Amino acid sequence: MSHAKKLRILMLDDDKFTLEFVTDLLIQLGISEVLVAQDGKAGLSVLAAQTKNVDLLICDIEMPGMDGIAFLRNIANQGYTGKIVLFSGIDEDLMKAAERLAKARGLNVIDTLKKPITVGALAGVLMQLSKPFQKKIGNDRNELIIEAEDIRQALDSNQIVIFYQPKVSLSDNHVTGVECFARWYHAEYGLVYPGDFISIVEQNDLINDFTLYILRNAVKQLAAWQRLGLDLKIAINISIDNLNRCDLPEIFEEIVLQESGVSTESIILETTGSKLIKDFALSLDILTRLRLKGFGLSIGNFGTGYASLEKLKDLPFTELKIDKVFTNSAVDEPSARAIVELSTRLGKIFNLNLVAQGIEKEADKDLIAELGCKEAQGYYIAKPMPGEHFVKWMRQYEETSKQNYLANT
Amino acid sequence: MCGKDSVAFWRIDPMNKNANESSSDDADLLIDLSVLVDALGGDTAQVHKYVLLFLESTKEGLAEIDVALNLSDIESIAVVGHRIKSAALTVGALRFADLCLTLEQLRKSKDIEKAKKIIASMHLMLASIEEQIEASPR
Repeated sequence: MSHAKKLRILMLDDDKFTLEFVTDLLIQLGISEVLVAQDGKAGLSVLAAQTKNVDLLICDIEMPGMDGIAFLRNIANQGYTGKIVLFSGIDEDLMKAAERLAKARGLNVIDTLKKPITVGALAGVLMQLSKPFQKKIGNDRNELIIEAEDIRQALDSNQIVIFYQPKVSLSDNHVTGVECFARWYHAEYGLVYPGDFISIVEQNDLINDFTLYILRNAVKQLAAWQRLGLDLKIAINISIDNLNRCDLPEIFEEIVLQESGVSTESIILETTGSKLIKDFALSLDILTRLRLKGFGLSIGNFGTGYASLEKLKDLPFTELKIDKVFTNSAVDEPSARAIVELSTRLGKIFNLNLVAQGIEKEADKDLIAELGCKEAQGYYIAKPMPGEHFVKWMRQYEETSKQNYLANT
Repeated sequence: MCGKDSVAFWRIDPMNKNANESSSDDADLLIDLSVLVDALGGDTAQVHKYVLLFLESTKEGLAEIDVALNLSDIESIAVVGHRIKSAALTVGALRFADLCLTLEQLRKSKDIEKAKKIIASMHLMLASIEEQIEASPR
């Protein structure tokens, strides 16, 4: 382990036995320099006294005096950029919370180790030390300067296009539909994502113009796909700010039926948890009439923000989308798995179509299928793509799934 | 297989003073050093060193616990209980580690009478482990 020999490691633990035991194991693994400290305060002193970088911190969480959490807060404030392994005998959920907290502070936590430690577990950690780290604090992109007028012009000149992310059935892997995501081909900034401009759209009373633009273009695309014989549903995000005019259902219906000729049953209108409903009666009026006209209603990002149990109880949804913060950690975190299980049961009780968002790996997909979700969406299946790429992707995906199925039976 | 057969002589059954005879019931073992051997990646040569280190650091911890008990300081008792649990788990003194955990959890109930009983058991168990380790061939 020649790479390991050059590394300097600082280990924090309040137990003398553990310090000596782990130090010996690290030396056995080829590390030549292991510094030790028995609490956070001592750890800060050791770090401050170093003239060379410390490559790895192995940090106990529960220590008397300055504990691991306070120590990590301090080193984050000091701009520590080395790698960190959290190391403790505390409960798994507390360990995960500590890991999330450290990452939220911009620290590079590469692993967690549960006591008692073994040489195999330490060797696994040392293997990870060569992986690069990209520090994520805030948005790395330069702040975009976007004015409401720029958005108006973008809508007028069709600079905003729709990317489509597929949703697939978990029972037979057929593609059931797509969710629409706006992308703006900006002359100066390149591809601009909704996170960079939706708040400006909402603050400048452009949300209805924007949503109608997306709806018009999306249903046109859907009509084209239907002419090719594809049986798909299309999901469009609507803002809570859209729910401010009584005639919204009629406007939507006219665009869908008259301008494109697709049925309203093919359209799912998806709300997210990002905003609180201001006028509950008006919102309920609009959403109920949208349902009466045949539109599907989806509660997206369920379990986060305002996408709450209360909203689920009060509004006439047809679909529940479980947020990715739960679905892509359910494999590793019992608490996330419990929330996915509970959401799935709720969805069944309310007779809703259940979709898992944010599926990023095969294990996520397998688990949510086992827990009873009907559909999945996420990077593991496909990223959002331009409309012209979709049909080719869909045929390949379904063909591969079919061949995998035949190979396994 | 790094483990259990090669360190069978270290497996101590509290009900049977003959340390060379390991119990068939693992739950009765006071210390199962195959846990330590596994942690060391099969290196049996280091086992004695860490058992001695466990005994030394745990005795120091118990002395701190005794001081805290005299002061009815349940928080300090729990902190040290948590601290010495790691070593016990590492060397395979799993029943001792269970007592450490129970002590740690008294933080909630603050039951000092229960703490007294557990600490007394810990002293006896540690003495028993030490006595039997000393009597064991190496």
